[in-house]
Amino acid sequence: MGAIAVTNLPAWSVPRPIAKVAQPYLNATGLDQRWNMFAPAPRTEILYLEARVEFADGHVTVWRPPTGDPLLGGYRDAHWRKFVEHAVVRPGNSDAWPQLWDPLARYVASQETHEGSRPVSVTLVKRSAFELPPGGRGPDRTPFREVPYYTLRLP
Amino acid sequence: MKRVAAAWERFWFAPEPTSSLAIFRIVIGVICVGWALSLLPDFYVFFSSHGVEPVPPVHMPLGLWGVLNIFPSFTVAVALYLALLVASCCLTVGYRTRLASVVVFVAVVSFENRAPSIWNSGDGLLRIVCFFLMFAPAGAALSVDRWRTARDRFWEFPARAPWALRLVQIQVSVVYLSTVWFKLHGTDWLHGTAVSYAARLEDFQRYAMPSILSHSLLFSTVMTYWTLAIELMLGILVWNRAARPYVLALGAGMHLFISLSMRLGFFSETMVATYLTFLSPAAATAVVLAVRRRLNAAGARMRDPQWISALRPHREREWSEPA
Repeated sequence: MGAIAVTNLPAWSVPRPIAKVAQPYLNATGLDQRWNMFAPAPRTEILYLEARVEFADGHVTVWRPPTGDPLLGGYRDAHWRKFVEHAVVRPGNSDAWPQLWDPLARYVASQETHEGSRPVSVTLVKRSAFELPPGGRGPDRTPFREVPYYTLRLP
Repeated sequence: MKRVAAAWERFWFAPEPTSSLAIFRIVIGVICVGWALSLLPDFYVFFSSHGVEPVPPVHMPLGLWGVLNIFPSFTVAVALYLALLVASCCLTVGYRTRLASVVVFVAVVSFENRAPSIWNSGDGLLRIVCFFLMFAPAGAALSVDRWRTARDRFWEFPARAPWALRLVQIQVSVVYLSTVWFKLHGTDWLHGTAVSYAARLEDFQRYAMPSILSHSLLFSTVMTYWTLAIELMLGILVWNRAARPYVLALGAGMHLFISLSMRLGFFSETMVATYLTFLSPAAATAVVLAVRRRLNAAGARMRDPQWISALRPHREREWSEPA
């Protein structure tokens, strides 16, 4: 119960030494937790990830994370949706993990490599739009913008 | 002071029938099976050295651990996956329940720490619930373990100290109070626009809400404050015996709405499963025995010679038609 309290009480209310001592135990027991889903504010940026794969002959294919049917596929998709949140560039957001870019690009390259055609580069592109405040008369979001943010050149 | 101590002792340790715990275990077991199956299509992508997270995180915070962080080979990942699937089934039916719950917890923690980029709060909640379940007498009733040790008293629910179940209950309360605390620090929740923003995240949508609702400021304001109110009630009034059924029903409704509108994995399912720990043992026993009576009645109907003979002329007619 102490663990649940320490990990959930506001940071200012738990003395730093206690939090520091408790954290390894919380990590070890799997009790570390933070219930800030959609808080303090829900994300307002609609995020998609694409990987543009360029081949030696100049043609380009686009890879996108898989999307399943809403009912059962939704459970599988949740993993990809979370992955995309971490894998796209989001300046100033600690949820963006640049260490995922290179392995993702290499994985996409391996998926797009076929006999007789090898990719020469993979570019990760963020497609995003911002939601506009509700209740307005116009569109409910901005137009989508594409931002290439990482390119892997292959030998 | 003595009364407080006695109340404390009663709350954590006064033995009570294990019927609610048994139902909770079965549902969590089923969720764990589903959780494991949801990983299957992309298992190689997420857990192999050729996938999107080819190696486990290098700098693990102190205390974090996982089988796959120690043995990162894909073969071990496959073995652990099979162990998770088998143990989840064992947890559901209550076979070697304690061992099964330990295997499930170790596997869940190991997968979560191997590829940390793919999990959301629902996965974290499942991990925490599995941790508490390891310490609960989860196989004491409605289980193969019970069948093996006391077959003649299978439909009885031995009384055990409920302290592990109480920890799950406190966890439920804390989840809601904590999330309300975080939300009250955001302007979107205070201005009533948060639900609209969350519902219009099309990359997260499962079944899209009609835009006339999701883009309506009035609807959003009502739903935003209603969500905060339900979460606050779930955090506090769930401890009030009279209010509990209503509060939990509101929570279940809210999670059904979330589950239908967003791709959040097993978050809502796990959250609603934790509500079962608030089911009183008497009510849980009544539910189980009602199900048993129905099963018995259905079984008796199937064995009834009149029912079989009633079918016979139809069958003979069907069979004679081709001739």
